[in-house]
Amino acid sequence: MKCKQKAGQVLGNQTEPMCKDCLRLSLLSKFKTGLNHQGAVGGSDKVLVAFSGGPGSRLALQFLCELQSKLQDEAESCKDRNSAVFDVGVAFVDESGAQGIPLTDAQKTLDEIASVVAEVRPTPLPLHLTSLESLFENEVLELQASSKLHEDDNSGKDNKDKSRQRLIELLSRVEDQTGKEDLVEHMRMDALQRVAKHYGYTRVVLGLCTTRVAARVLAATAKGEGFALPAGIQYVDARWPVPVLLPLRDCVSKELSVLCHLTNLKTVFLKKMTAMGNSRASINSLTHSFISLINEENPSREYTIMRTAAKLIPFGFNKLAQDDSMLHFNGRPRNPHARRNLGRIEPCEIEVLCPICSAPLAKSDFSSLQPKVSVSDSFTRMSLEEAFEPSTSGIDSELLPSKIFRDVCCPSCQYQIIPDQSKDSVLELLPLMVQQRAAASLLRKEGWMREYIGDCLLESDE
Amino acid sequence: MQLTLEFKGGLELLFGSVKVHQIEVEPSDGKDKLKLQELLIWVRNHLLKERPEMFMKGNSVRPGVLVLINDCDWELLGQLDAVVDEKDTVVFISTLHGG
Amino acid sequence: MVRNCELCLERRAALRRPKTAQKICRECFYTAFETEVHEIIIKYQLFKEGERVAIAASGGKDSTVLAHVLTELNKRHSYGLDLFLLSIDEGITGYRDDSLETVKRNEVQYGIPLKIVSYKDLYGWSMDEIVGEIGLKNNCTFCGVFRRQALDRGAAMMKAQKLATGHNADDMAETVLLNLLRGDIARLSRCTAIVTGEDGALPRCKPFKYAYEKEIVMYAYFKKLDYFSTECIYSPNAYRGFVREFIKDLESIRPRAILDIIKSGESFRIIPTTKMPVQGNCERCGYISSQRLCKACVLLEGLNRGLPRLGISKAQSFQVSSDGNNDKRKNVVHERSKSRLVQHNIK
Repeated sequence: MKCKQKAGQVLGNQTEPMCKDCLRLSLLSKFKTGLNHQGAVGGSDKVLVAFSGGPGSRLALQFLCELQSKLQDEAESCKDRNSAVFDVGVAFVDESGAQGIPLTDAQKTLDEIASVVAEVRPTPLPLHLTSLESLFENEVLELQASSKLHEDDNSGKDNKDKSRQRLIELLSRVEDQTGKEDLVEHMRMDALQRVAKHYGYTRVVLGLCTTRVAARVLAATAKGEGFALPAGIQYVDARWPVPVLLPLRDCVSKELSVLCHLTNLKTVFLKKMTAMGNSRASINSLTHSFISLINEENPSREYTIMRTAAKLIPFGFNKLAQDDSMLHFNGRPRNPHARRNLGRIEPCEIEVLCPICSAPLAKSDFSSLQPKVSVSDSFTRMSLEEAFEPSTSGIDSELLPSKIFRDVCCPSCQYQIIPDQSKDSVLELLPLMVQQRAAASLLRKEGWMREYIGDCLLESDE
Repeated sequence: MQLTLEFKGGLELLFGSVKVHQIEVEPSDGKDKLKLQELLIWVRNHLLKERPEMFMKGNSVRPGVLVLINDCDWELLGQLDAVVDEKDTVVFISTLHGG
Repeated sequence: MVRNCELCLERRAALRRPKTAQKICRECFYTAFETEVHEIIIKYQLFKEGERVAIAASGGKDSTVLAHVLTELNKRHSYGLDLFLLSIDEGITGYRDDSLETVKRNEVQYGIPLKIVSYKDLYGWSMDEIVGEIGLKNNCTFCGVFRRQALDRGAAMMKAQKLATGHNADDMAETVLLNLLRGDIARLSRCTAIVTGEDGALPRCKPFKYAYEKEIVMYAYFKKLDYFSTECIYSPNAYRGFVREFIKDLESIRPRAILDIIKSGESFRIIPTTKMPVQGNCERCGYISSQRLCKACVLLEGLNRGLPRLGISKAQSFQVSSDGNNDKRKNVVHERSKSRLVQHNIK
């Protein structure tokens, strides 16, 4: 028993009974540790919480707002005009298009989400509602919780319908169920990133917990993604234009669910593709149910899996770039040697990333040196960041030849999302930003290869 | 005896999308306390609307389902051997897809 | 409507290949299976011409098919290998007797000599006796340690230069997952290697590393190969069972997942600074060991002194005298195998 005062209410992961308050303190402390890793959140940051409706992201939101309010009180009482406190916003991605959920039900869910978010703190939190199909739209349009999912004017409605149709068509062309689920997940992250970038957020927080990380580790292993595995399970993932944080990574889902219940935090259950279905439908659902099974045998197993995977060597982008100012997340100087993080990646550590899922590619997965490909001028000199902007030079209709596109995709996406070499059926429907990233990756890969064979290249007029 | 049952984390879908249920159940053999084991079977027979395998496995709850009796973890109370009393609240939470 | 084999297009298709889902005839299956093993042997340079190779033979399907295929490929491709079967008798009544009979038949069927080495000979204890002494709790630990050393010692006695085991793709995938589940990061980095112990005197290789268990069974079935299959009676390990079932389920969703797990295992990048144990030699018997006494000697010490938990849990602290005078009879036997090891330069 932790505090030895009140009765134990939950058998935590530590196998020590805890009362509600001790449980809360334990999870909050883990959250703060995760959040403060590398000083990831500082006073000038704008933090976007990706809310899924579940207990993890609900608690992430709760803890973050409590921290914010505590720091604001402190700043006020100290009358310290220099200490800024971070901003918080919430994003929700509507995935009803991928589930075949009718618009009326989807609207109900949006309303529920909005009402849960409205309860989090006295001053309303900015809530950004977006959707998977938004990736097919040129501007960052937002759904209004209060109005309908359709736009009121006809042209807007047409666009929305078209995008939704395109999403449904795209997913129907992916035959592998696991591939379909993974593609939805990649698109979800892209939708979040778009909103974050558009509204000037500097960090995205996910409610990913130990349990789900453990499931991901096993699923990734089963998909042959062992090389890229460490990328998405560290506290910090700066591959993205807006770096992604996983402060709840060390908390198990049981503790998160129970705390939400005991402290009356409302959650919304969303029917996702992997939820409540046949556990043999996909590798993802199978690993989820496997994790539950082995947890029965030994509750600390999921934590062990997560810790083991966390010992694999991470990538350069799992660190935030440094600069000279030195602030703690409460705005006070931490120590003279602490550094503030901007979220840039050091150029020398840039990996070649798969345009679909952003997995770093293993050099061994590149096919042998190919003859230099002529890439049209409109694709040259594009940085990763620019690839996230909607098209500026009217290159919507230009697709990279499928063979070349495939060459910069990771083996897993090649197998489960774009398997058919002869057809472009999936490729042609992927969002434009995926094509743009492919071009950027291609350039990077050629750069790497040029460096690699550099001493053999003769002078030429390139 | 009268009990309050709550289903969360998606389990409510198996119970007509209703989260909170007030039920009336009699322990067998005329005893005045109800073992959780019995309650589970009662729930499966009387309350579950569809797909029993999503809620139960054999005679216990499916792996990944948490049980709280009056806000206390059933693992601290003997799991299937825990007893429920008049006016108790039993909460079932699925953690299978928490996020 | 019976269709023709997808590969040769001539003969009638008789099976669907688990690895590739192709519908093919038996002959094409044999060719495909054997060719793949041959290509692995060549690609990873598992053998050298003229090598004397011990095939670890348990009488089970993996080792029987391995013996059959290696004998066949050795002839067909002129590897020039000097093959023999090496079998370990753990001394488990009812289990081992039957599989040993199978191996004896294999000796005749494949025309290669057989050597049987028993725990009783090597250590002075049979598994039956060990279980009698310590019960069923940690018997698998004993058996595992003893078997590993028994194979090495038996091979050394027979002057083998290499040991080939029948570990298949399913085994390897299972090991990768188990190491993830157990948090054994050190083992995780080594467990997918197709050759282990190259720096020692007796390297081991796994020619079946990429062969599906289902295909091995099919091969044995169609070729009517003689093998014995039962679970060891002392081995209820529920935990391993979960993982096995998980792999089976994965295979049914996506057959290549088994190979993908192995690929993941090979691609894991692990910080190499974790303490690498310094390899030395056991004081008592000379077997390669990072401790003063090798694991087998520690376990034997415990058995001989009637302290069965010795060597199982890490927290044991005990005094073990290097001349171990406690049970003269058993130690004399152990000495015999020690001198043989030293003779053949086994570190």
